[in-house]
Amino acid sequence: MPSLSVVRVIATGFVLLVFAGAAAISLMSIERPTFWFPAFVAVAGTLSALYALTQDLRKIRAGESVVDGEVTDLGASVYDESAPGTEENPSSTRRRVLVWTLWFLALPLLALVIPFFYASLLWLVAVLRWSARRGWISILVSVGVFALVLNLLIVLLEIHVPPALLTGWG
Amino acid sequence: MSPKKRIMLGFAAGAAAILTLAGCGVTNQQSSAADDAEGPFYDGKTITLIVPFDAGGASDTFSRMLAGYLSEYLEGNPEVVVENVPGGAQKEGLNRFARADHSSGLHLAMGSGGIIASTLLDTEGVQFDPDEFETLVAFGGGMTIFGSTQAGIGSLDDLTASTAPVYYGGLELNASESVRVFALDQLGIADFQPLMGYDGGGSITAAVLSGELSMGNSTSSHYLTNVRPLEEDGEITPLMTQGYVIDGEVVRDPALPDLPTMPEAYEESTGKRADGMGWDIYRAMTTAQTNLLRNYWVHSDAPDEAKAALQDAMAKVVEDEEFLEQATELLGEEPLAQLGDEADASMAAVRDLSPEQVQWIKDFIVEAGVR
Amino acid sequence: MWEPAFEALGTILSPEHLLWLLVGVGIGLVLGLIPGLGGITGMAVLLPLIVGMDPASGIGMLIGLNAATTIGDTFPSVLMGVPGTAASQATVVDGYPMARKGLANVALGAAFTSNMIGGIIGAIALFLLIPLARPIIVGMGSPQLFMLTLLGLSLVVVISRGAMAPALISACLGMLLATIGSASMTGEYRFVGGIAYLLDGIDLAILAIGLFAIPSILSLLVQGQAVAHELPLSKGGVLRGAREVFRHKRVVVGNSLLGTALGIVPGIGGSVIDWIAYGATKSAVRKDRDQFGKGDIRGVIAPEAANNAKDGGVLVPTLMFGIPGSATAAILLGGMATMGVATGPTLLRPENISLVFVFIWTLALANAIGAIASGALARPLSRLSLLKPHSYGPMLIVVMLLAAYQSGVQWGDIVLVVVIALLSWGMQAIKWPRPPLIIGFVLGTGAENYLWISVGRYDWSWLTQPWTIVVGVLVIITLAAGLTNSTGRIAQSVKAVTRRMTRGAKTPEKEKVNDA
Repeated sequence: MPSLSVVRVIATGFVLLVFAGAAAISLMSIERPTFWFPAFVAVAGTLSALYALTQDLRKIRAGESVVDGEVTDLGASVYDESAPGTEENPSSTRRRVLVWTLWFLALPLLALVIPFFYASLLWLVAVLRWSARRGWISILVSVGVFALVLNLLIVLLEIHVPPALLTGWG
Repeated sequence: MSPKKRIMLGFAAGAAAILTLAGCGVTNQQSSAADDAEGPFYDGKTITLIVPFDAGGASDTFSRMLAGYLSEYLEGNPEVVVENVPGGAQKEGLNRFARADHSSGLHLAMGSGGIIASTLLDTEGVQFDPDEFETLVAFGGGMTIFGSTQAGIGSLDDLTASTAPVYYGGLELNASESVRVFALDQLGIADFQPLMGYDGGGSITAAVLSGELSMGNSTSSHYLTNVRPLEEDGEITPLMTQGYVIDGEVVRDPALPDLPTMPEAYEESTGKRADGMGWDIYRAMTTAQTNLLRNYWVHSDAPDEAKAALQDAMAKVVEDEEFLEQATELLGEEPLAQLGDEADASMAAVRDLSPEQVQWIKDFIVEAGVR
Repeated sequence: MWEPAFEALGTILSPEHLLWLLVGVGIGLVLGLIPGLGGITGMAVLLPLIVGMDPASGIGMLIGLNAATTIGDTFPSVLMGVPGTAASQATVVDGYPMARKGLANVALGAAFTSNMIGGIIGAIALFLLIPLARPIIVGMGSPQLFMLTLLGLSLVVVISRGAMAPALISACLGMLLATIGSASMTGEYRFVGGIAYLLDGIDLAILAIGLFAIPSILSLLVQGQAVAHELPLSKGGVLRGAREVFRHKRVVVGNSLLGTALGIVPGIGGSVIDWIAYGATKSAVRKDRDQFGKGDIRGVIAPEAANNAKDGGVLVPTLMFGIPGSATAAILLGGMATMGVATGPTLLRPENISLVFVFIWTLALANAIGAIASGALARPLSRLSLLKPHSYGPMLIVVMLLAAYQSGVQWGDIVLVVVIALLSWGMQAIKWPRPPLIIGFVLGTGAENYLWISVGRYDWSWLTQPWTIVVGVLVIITLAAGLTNSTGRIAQSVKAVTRRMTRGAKTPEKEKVNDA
């Protein structure tokens, strides 16, 4: 598993390519005024990505980590310090990131086959059972209550629910 | 089993029961339990009217009001629900309408004549065929061009006499806007500059007030309800209207009968007749834009029984005094209503643009865009 | 002036009007509480209901809903680090760390007090701005609007800490994403690559849910631990938070005025106003600036005061010119038309002026009721921060996918939000700041349109207009202050100048307000 520093350098390289590509597209159509602004943004983006890349590479050569600095960001992060007394090791964090990413992808995939509302209930039961390790009764109660509330919201707020794309149900 | 667990289990069972009862709201299937019964076609059913605009706009507000009257006049008083499907400049909503199952006749759609015209030019993302749309009713609505006192435009003569650049503002240089730009460009203004990219009628009005724009346009309806007070304060001057097309000729906007139409203004200022390719296209696009501002369609695949019921009801709606009164209050003017065949004839005028004419519009947009 | 004001007060205090106001506030609080759903959902649902309603009651319901959403949205922002709506993103930056320290109820108390004060100041400002509305709207030409969007963008460097390059990348990415879809000037499609879904561009709601809300929930689920393990101030914490607001009078009043002023400017909107307020406050305070981002209560007060005050400002162009200052304002305009209420310049006529006062009173009242109701809920709900995320996280993921689906009602919405969420989670892991992305996204569109019109109208001579130069100098000072990271003095003077200018231009009758 590569370190985050390497991931960041790869990501910066990738973003550099995206910007450069967008810049190329825009500059090729530069005679059309529609592409002036995208050209400006893409070129600015290319330059800042280049700058970021050189800085990161310099740091890595000096043996520093590029992901230690503080940034202004928001919300919970997987690197939040954990509560005292519960030691974390990086590999178990990594494993759980993978597990939850897969769970997150599973919901829309399931909803492709079963109408979203029922898919979400099934998914919730599965998540609560296998990842949260809750008892069947508490799962039934919480999913039942959630289904009620969600149903109420859907009906009262006229919320649209995605149909199952592959089977055409719903 | 402990008492606590039993209570929880009971609760869960109860929840599940309520859920099965209420669960019909969570899919998009229409309940059509009242099928096959004797009586009116739409008895106990729900009709969905797709409006390809955001909730809250003039088109949405008008459609919601119309839906109420349609429900009242349809035999069996079905519920008529407005579904907003904004996006893709109406294409998203009309695509959805085209995809819907029409065998039960439960889907209607609203759309502007402008989108029908622009599908000739811009086919990107268009998955519907306007030839399959049958017009139940089309409501008209004009466009008004007004000048900025601040920028020294107090009359039509000021426009043609101006040696300073004349700036005309709009939202987007699409097919509908292109014919107005064309008509203004023909007036003989020394230095005419179209400026597109404003984000709404209100922004254009503000820019005209400050003199950033010499001229702006707005729907006659917006003009009558929102801009008129500024005219009374002497800050803006109405100049001309786009007019309506009756029997192939451009006639004055009944809401603003004192204002010349754009062809009239052209003939007056240049002494020439408004003929030729450009003006032919102007007339076709004006038919789309003003005569057919808001169209209400049923799909040609819908059952004949449904179509007949809808046509019948719509004919009664447009005669209803209360409806007309409410529409007038909402729009500031009484909308011109065209039923079935009359509206289809207007639609044909738009659909029949020749490939050369379509190419002419495309070229004009490109040329005006880089000016 | 006073007679219609009292007449309007009489109208809104009638039981019928109050009932509808409460209905609006109630729905608004619930919608704010549910991450991803916001005022637009509620307004669209209530719109059909107001047909035939008495205008004052209809206004009460819609305004009540709108004000309450920006109050209720603080709950998930603080308790779970998930922005309740796009307007309370900046609240998360300091609100969530406070919750982690077990101070959720203090943060909530401070937020609701700021909401109430901000909302009331916004309402008063709306009242004072009535005679000034026209010169302000007319005076803001495209060049001025362009410079203001630049000023907003330049705050990216103030908000960011540490290395500047990732922040710039992030802002440029945001602006590039905003150019996807049909260009508003010519209708030409850019960067859509033949994908029909992208013709319309990326929706702000989807970006906001994917960028911040889902990654935060996923992180909580990965941690598998409650946000806080105890609430040391479980009693009296809410009141303590309220008292904190009064200790920071300048922060709350200053940001309320800033929020109102920004609300007037079309094209900025709630999702950026909170960040501007946060950035301006951070650069203006002298004491303990390095506490921002670690649970500083001023970082909660500033955006929350500004995002409720903005509602007053937004109504200025909406009511006086029919220029909707935000998406919800556009629906409000439709609602007015439905009830037969003329908007635009006619509203200022003597016979209509009492309706304007209905707006003002309703705004103030809705904010007060919403904040008090939320304050009462704050203590029980703050216990949510003691729950394991497994008990609510998966449900929220379901709700947020549904919320994303509402923006375009097509499967592409879900695909896009999933992709954005995973990429954004990755950005967070490699320490790329994400706030600049959303700022770039929102302001990029405005910047492009205003620049386009400015150049088309004035060639380059607009660069020499006095207001352009003044704002331009502000942009340069902001950038210099942010980049040199000088500790306070330059930023302090920027703030002072901005304050003087906004006061001079927009609210001359306001008393002198300086920030600490």
